[in-house]
Amino acid sequence: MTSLLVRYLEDLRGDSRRFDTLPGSLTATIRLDIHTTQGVDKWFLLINKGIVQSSKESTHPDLVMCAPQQLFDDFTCGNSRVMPALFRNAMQIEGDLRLLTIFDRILPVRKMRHHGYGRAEEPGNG
Amino acid sequence: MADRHVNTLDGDVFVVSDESGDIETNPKYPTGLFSFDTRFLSKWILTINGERLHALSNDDLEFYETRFFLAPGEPTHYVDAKISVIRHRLVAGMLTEQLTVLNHDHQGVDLHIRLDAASDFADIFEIKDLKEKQGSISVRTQSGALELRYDRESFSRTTIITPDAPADVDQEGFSFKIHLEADGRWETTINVETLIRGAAGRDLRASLSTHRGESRPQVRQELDTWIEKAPRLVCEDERLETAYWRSLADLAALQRRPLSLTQKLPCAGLPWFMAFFGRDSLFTCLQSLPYIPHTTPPTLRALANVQGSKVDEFRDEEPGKIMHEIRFGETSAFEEQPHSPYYGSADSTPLFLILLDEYRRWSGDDDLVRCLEQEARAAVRWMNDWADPLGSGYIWYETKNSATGLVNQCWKDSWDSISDHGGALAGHPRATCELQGYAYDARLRAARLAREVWDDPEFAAKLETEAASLKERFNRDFWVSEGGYYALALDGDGRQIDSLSSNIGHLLWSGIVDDDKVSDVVEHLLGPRLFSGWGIRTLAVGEGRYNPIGYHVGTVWPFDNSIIAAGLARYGYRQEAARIAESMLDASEFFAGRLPEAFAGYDRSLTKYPVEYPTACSPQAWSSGSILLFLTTLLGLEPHGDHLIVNPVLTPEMGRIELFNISGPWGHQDAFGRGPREQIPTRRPHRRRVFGE
Repeated sequence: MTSLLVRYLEDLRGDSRRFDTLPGSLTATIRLDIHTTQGVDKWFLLINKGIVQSSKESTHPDLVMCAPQQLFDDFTCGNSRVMPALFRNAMQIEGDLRLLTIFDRILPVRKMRHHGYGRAEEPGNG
Repeated sequence: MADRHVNTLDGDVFVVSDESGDIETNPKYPTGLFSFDTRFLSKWILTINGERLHALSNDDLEFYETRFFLAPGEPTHYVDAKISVIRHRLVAGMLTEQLTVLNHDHQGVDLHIRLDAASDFADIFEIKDLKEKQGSISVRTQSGALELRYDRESFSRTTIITPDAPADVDQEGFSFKIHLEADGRWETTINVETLIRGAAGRDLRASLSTHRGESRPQVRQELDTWIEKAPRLVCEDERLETAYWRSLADLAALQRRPLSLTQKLPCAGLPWFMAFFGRDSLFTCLQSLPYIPHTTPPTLRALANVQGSKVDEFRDEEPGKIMHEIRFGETSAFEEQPHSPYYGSADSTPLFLILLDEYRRWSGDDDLVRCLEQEARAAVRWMNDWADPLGSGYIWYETKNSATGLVNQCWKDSWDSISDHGGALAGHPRATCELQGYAYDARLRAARLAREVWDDPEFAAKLETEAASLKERFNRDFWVSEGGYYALALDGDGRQIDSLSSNIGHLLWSGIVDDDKVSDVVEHLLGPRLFSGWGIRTLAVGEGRYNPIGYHVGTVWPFDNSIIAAGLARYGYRQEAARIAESMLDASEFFAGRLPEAFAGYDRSLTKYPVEYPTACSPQAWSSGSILLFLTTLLGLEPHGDHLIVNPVLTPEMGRIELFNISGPWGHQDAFGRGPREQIPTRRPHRRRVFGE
C-alpha cells in the first residue's frame, strides 16, 4: 500500500507550496527517514520563508526524524501527533526540536481524527 | 500546619524531601526526585546502624544547593549523639549528594551506613492517585551502581545511582560498612542521573541541538549574571528589600531549559507546576519586564513555535491559539492526558499579544515584533473566529475534551470557580469578564504594532474599531446595575453570572472599564467583601460559593492583587494601589519574603497573620513576579517612547525607595520615591512569626 506521507511528499516535490502557518523568516531542512519493510526511504523537506518543497536529493538537515512508515502515515491523516510520539520514543529525532512543530504544520491534515493514543477513530471519520 | 519540605531545584531537575533530606512517597505532596514530569526517586532514606537521622538544621544555600546537618536518632536524644552527618545536596543537571560522616567520640566506631533507594516512576499527574503502572520496573546492579528502569512499549526512563566509595549494592540500595577512628570522618559522593531514553538508547536530550545540560559553575554563574543584570534596589523598607531579592532569586530558580530552545523559560511553580505554561509565563514576563526583560523573547518565541495550527479536540487546539501547558511524562506520551501540548486556556492568546506590545514598549525591540507578525495575526484571527462560536463578539470557552480537558479555561481554572450569587455553576460556554478585558487590550495593542511596525494602518483601524465596539458592548452586557460591578461571566444564554469577584480588578488593568463605572468598581475592590486586609479575595464574602480556603473562591492570590493594583494605578487610584502593595508586603514578612501562590481569605482582624493555603506552590513564578509589578506600580514606572516616566506614590511605611539601572529604549535610568514622611506610624512593635522557622 502506498504511504500517505510519500504520496503527499510526491505532490510537494513537483510543486513548491506556500504555507501561511510557517514563520515567514524560517529557512531550514528536515530529513524524514521513513522505515519500511524494504529499508529506509529518505525524503527532504526544504523550507524557505514559508515556501515548502520536497526532495530526494541529499542535503544537510537541521532536523532528522526517523519513524516507521505507519507512524508517519498516522501523522499525515490525523491519527497521531508528533510530540507525544517523540515523548514515548516511538519516533527518534536528531537536531533542532523546534522544527518538529514546523513539520506538523506542513502536514495536510487540518482536523485531527484521533482522541488519544490507541483511541483513534476509523479512517474516514472526522 | 503541613509538614515542612525542603526543595532543591535547577529547572529541569528538582528534589522535594523532608527536613533530613529523606524521600518517602506522600500522596498529598509530590516528594521525590523529578525530571521532565517523572519521579525518578520515590525512596531515598539514609540510616546509620538502622536508625533514621534527625535534622539538626538545614541550610538553603542557593536554590540548587542544600546542606542538611543530621544526627542519628530521635530529637529527644540526639544531643547525646557521638556521630553527625552532613548531607550536601546539589542539583545541576543531575542530583549529587555528598555524605560526610563525623565521629565526635574519643574512640573508634564501626558503622553501617545504609542508603535505601527506589523509584515508582510516577508521572506528576499520578502522584495524588497512584495506580498500578502499565509498564514494568526493573532493578539492576552493575559495577557498584544501581540502575532503576521503567519500560512501557518504547517509553523508557532510567535512574542510575553511582557512589564513589566502595559499597555493597543490592536491589534496594547501598550499604557502606566503615570504621571511623576517634574524631575521624568519612565521605562519599553519590550521583543520581535521570535518563529519558531516545534514539539508540541514548538520552533524548543528547540528540537535540537545542538542549544542553549544566554544571554547578554554570548554574552559579547564571544566577550571578541574572542578579547583576537586574536593577539594584536600595530602600528603607526591609520587607520590600527582602521580598525583591527573594523574588529575583526565585524567578531564576524557576527558569527551565526546554528541549526546544537554548535559552531558558519560566516554569510556573514548585512542585506541582514545574512546567512551561502559557498563561503563567506570559503574566510573569508582564510583571517582570523592567527587571528581567531578557526572559520575554524566548517565552514569546517558544509559545509561537507551538501555536495551534489545526483543530484537535483532544487538546482543545485551534488554529492561532496559544498553548496552556506542556508536559513530558508518561501520561502525556500515551495521551492519557492532553498536555503535549494542551491548549485549554482562553486567555493565553490575547495575553500573547499584550506581552508582545508591552515588551516592545520596555525594550524598543521592533525586530521581535516583525519576526512574530504572522503568529500575532493568527492570534487575532483566533480571537475573532474560533474563540467566538456564538458570534457575539466575546471570547468564550468550553472544552471539547470532556474526559480530561479543563472545565474552566480562565486563570481561575478549578471546576467550581465560575458560579453566580446563589452559588449555581454557570452553563457552557462561558465568557468570563476578564477575558473580554484582555481581548480589548490585545486588539488595541495589536493595532499599535500594526500601525508602528507592520506598516498596516488598515488592519490597525479595523482592530481599533473592533475594540471600541467590544468596550461598548461589554459595558452594557456585563454591568450588574443593581450591584454596581461587572458580572463574573456570561453563560451561553447571555445570562449574567452575577457574583462579585476579583476579576473586576483585571478589567481596570485592561482599560475596558467606562469612566462612569470606575469609582463603583474601586469601592467594591477595597470594600470589606473583597479586601481581607491582606489582599483582595478571589470571590467576595457573601457569594454562594465563598470559602476563605477555597482555591479560587475566596483565597487571596498575590498575582491577582498585583494585576489589580496596576489596574487601579492605570485609572489614577494610586493610593488604593499602594494600600494593596502595602498589605502584600506585610503578608510577605510571614513567608520570609516569598509570597506563595495563594493564602486564605480570612479577615485580617480575625487571624492576625495570612493563613497558609495547604497545597500552595512556593515558589510560584507569578507570585514572585508580583513583588516586581508592585514595585513598578509604586514607583509609577511607565515607558513613553525613549523616556521612562517615574511618578511614585508610596505609603508612609515604605520610606525611601531607590531603583538603579532600569534599562530600556532610554538607556539606563534610576528611579526614586519616598512615602509621605509626616504620617510614618510606629511599625511592628514585636517580631512577626515567619512560617518555616
